[in-house]
Amino acid sequence: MHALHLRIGPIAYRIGSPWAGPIAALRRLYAGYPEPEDGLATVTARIGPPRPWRRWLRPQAALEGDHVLPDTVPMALRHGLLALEMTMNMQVALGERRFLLVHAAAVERTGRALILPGHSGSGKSTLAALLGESGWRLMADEFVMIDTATGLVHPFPRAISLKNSAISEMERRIADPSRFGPHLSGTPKGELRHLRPTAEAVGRMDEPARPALVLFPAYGFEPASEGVSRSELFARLTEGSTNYIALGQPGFDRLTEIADTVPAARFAYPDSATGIAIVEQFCAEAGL
Amino acid sequence: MPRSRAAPDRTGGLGAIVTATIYRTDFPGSCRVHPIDGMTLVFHRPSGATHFLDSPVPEMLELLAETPDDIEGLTRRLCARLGTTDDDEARTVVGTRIAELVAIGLVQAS
Repeated sequence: MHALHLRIGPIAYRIGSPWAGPIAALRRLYAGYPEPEDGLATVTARIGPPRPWRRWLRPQAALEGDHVLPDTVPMALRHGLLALEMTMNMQVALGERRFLLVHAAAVERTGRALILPGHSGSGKSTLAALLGESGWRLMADEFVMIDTATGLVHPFPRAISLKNSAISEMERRIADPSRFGPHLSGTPKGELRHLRPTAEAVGRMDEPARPALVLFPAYGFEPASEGVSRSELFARLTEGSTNYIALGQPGFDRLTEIADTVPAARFAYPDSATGIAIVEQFCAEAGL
Repeated sequence: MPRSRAAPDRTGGLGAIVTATIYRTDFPGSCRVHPIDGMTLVFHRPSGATHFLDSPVPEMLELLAETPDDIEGLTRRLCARLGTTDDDEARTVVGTRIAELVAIGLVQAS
């Protein structure tokens, strides 16, 4: 078994694969990330063949680890890096109990966090990636981790999952090719390429931030924006959380506090430049 | 505390006395209650479920928390509190809402 031990924010991973290639690709993608403190990994994420012969014969990678989902479809080994990324996500989504997880991206400036929740295709990853290259610190691409005791957002700066047109857009902006993973084509998510966050985002992965603004992006529409009520904000954040129900009352208390105190809005945008301009305008109005 | 009581005979004196269901609630003692946008957000500890409640449901729960009651009695007290007419339509609304509250575990029937 090929292995990689890796710490990303509060998560200490033990990552394994019977194939060398996906681990080597992951090691390159996460170059510069620390090892788990005291060498103690607490989350196991693995890929493996769903049947013994699938290790060699038309090899397939099934998502494994501490937690498994029975209906997960194995992936072709050429997408092994994506399979590792997916099981790393899955283990956190199914197992994390210290932090409230919200399906969102987040960036930070002056100690305050902008949270961008959204479904796949909403543009949250692209916006967060762009902001992360222009004066903001990327805190999260997929899961925003909220400490139920303090309400602070803790960084979980995983590699950013760029899809389709966002790939070329980020390739034009970032000169360092070593920050990109390999091109992955024909994946269940379309064309895909991972991007390592900036060295600053990785180096400051233990610095939390106070939630200051929640914006719900919607890519592919004419520019428009409107406020989101406190009750809708609460409802949408709970819908987008993988562990709200499991956390019980602490999760309720923390999300009601966020709904009461953090302004929220939704906006539509046709292209990245317009999206960034709308985000910066909201942030200026929120004093962020 | 009696678990049931005789309901008024609405059959012109021909029907037998029937036993009405009494409803009670563990609200608000076993709940976290949070007002939001004119509604009431409730986290129900025993079930771990979160509910958005709009009027008259929070008022119904408050009345049942004060005194367990049947549909007739609860409708009468609710209409008095809200200043509305105690009629068949009100009883229908209360009965429907109570059935929903029983289904989600915020109210228990006995």
